[in-house]
Amino acid sequence: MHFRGKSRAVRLVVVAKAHIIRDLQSAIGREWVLHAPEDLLVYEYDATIERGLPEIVVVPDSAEQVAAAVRIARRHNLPVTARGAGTGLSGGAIPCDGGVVIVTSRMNRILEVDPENRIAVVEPGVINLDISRAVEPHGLYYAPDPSSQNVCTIGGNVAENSGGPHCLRYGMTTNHVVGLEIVTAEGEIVSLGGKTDTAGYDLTGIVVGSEGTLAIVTKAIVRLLYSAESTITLLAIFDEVDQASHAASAIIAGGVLPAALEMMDKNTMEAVEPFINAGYPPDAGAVLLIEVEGLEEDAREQSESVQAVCKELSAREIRIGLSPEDRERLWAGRKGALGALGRLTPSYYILDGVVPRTSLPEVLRGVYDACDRHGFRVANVFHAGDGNLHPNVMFDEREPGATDRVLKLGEEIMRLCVDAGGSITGEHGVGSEKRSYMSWIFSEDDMAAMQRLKLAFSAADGFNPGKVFPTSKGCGEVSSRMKAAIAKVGPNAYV
Amino acid sequence: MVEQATLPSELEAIVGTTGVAARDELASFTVDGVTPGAAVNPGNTEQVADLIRLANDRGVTIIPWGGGTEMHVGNPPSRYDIAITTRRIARMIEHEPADLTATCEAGMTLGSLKDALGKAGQTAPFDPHLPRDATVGGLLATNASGSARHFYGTPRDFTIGMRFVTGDGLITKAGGKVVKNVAGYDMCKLYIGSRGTLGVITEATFKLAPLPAATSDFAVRSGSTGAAASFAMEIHRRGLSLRSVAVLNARAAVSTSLADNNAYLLAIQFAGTIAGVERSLEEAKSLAAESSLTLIPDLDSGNACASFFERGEGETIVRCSTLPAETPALMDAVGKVAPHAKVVATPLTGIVRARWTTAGGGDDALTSVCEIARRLNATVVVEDCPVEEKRQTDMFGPRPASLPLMKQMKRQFDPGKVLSPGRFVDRI
Repeated sequence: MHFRGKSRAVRLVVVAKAHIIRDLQSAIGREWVLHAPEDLLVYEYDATIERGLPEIVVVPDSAEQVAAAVRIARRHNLPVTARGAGTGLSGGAIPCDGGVVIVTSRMNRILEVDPENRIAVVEPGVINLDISRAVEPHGLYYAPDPSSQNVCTIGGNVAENSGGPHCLRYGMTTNHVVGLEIVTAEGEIVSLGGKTDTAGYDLTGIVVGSEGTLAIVTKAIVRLLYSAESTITLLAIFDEVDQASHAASAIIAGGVLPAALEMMDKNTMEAVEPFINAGYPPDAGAVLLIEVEGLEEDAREQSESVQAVCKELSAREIRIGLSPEDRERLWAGRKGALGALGRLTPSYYILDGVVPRTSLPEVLRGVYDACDRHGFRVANVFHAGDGNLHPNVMFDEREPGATDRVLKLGEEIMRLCVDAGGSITGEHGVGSEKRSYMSWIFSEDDMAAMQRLKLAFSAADGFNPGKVFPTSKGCGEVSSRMKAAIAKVGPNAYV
Repeated sequence: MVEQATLPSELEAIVGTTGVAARDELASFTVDGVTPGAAVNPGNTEQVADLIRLANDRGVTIIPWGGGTEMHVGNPPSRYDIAITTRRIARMIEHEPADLTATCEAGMTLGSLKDALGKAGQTAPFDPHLPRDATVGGLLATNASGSARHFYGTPRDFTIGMRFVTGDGLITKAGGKVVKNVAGYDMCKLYIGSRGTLGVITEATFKLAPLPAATSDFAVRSGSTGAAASFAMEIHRRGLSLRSVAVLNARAAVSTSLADNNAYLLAIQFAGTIAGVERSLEEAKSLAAESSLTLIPDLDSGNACASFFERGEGETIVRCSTLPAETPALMDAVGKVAPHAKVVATPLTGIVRARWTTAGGGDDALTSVCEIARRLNATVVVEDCPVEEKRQTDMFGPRPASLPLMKQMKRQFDPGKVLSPGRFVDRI
């Protein structure tokens, strides 16, 4: 087989490519193998500005077809990257080295709903929210709620171990996936875990969050929860950011674990107000959006505790939503925040870092200081209860040098998180953007242990190369791959 | 047995004279009839790594030892030279109540951890019935859980960071100290439940839970497993404050003083806010009345269940995992083929555990219980039985579909096969 290296991607010579396409077509069907340049273009991006053009895109309909595609790609030494809805925020679906992209959009069946045992079996292309819609008649729902849940897929959620506002109380994707069917890099279909406990190592737990580098998921068994009897949403308005971040930490220290605990700062509110009319006071420094749930009695008591803490920490006003409509109104500003920001600035850089909850006030001050020093406006809208920060730095890409400066700022903010005892990503993933930061929190030995999983799965760089680890090849040069997290998200996005 | 004459002095060089257990202590580290030639108590992670490297160099094998409360689970070791205990690696490292997280060393017992956290009104959400002298490391190595699993999950769900020495002596960190973290592979998942076959856990960080303001323990007597399980499921469906739940058959209930021949006992703990627990109790009472079940209120905490988890000598213990809705059928089937067994089930998570005394050797019940459970699609682990039986059948049952991947993991993390050899799935 002949290959010709062309800058960062392996480019196939025409003859070899024709061979591979023919093999894939016979395995998957002619119409489900895309290779014309105009057909490939829509698969070169995700929710970041990173780009990577695949050589071939296949849209299989079954695990067997995924396995066949993987075997064919392996035979020809082509990397394989799986793609769900392409909403990821760390370039997870971008084929850094070209190769074959496997799109899961046809594998979108909910195979089984078992309300009695509170589980569902789904294919990877099923949209997150569709599970909850399907099980709602039974009073059940699927808990992980990433912001993009009305478009993002379970396959992508599993790859990134997606979170969301409500994972504060209910946990991330990994806490809700009990079994997987995967295709290995050798093209074998293997079941991991299951509906009941299985003996041996927790391979399901390893594959979840492996960013598509160990296996391709072709089926997931997920746990379902009963919806709470009562939910109360509170919006606490503070004069100062500091008061709000102290309150976020104090609520949890006081013994209440809310379902969600979100924060928005002044810049975010200013951006949101003209579009959403949420009624935020123009001079407020920050708001906390707090959701408590459980039995009516529990929700009420938690709501009272939360109010007491907020008042104690000088909240100037607390709005309470009891009905679904009122609650939705209180959430509207939060959900519309990123879209609103997009109208104010040509570009913004979405950061994702985590700190211990008690460090929030200090780290947030550091974030504002750093942005001031670099001359950028920042809007903070994030999961305060988890200590999961999302500073959104506004800038103009067209201004010479601005991108480099904003990346430098991003690095500084990540440093602040790590120095406070935190981590470089809470829910968006490492991808190619943050590979070089891995060594800030993990030693060579720590990462060597992780790399052993790749060896055990015989994955090497066969699946999604250029992600997670600093040693592998990435998308383009350092500075350009760092642009990965500079989002070009539309008006409906939020973090 | 330790073959190399120089080994004792080499062990001593690593852990010091006081770190090596006296010869007369060795019998207490016996696993499945095999007594090690040495037992050492390293004082820190580095010493653990040194010991593991030494074992690799000398070609001797190790079994990590925590509180020793779960050592009966597993196939007999194919070889066992040294026990490495965590009893001197047992400090609380950090507890920040406002962060709702804590980090401690692996040898800390659950009892002392809970006591320390309780002072701040918090708890590590381990199962209420695990022995107080079980250690954090042992708990993680076994991923043990019980009657509160439907609420808290298992240790894999609330462990956010670990320190771990691999089978070739690499000291590694997994996860971190923050509650949400997706940096790199989630190595904690691999190490948790690996039963000492991939490495030694020396430190762990947990998400904590606030202690509930109120708890209420009660029992419900029922003529059938079906009625007991339905009661539990309905309580759960309504979202009542159900923290812990288990169904005991009459033989298991005997030791609780609430026993009634031919009756099943449903042991329940409600926990939460005062108002929430009060309402839950009222609803439970009227639901019991509607279903003609007898409710016995106001028991001491954990009273009904605790005794079941005290392990007796010479027992056979079988743990079956099925779908929650199949729990009553499985419990009935097990009770039928092993009428002398104490059986306890957690109807919301589908775990059915049967135990009986087999002092004089094996009996037919073990085969029957395994057969019937597997016929009902349960996965079965024989947690303890006479050693002769252990040598004949794999305690973890038929090979899982992913066994080749598991073997690869073992190869990667314990290439010299020095850790707990032969003990886990397929005698890995």
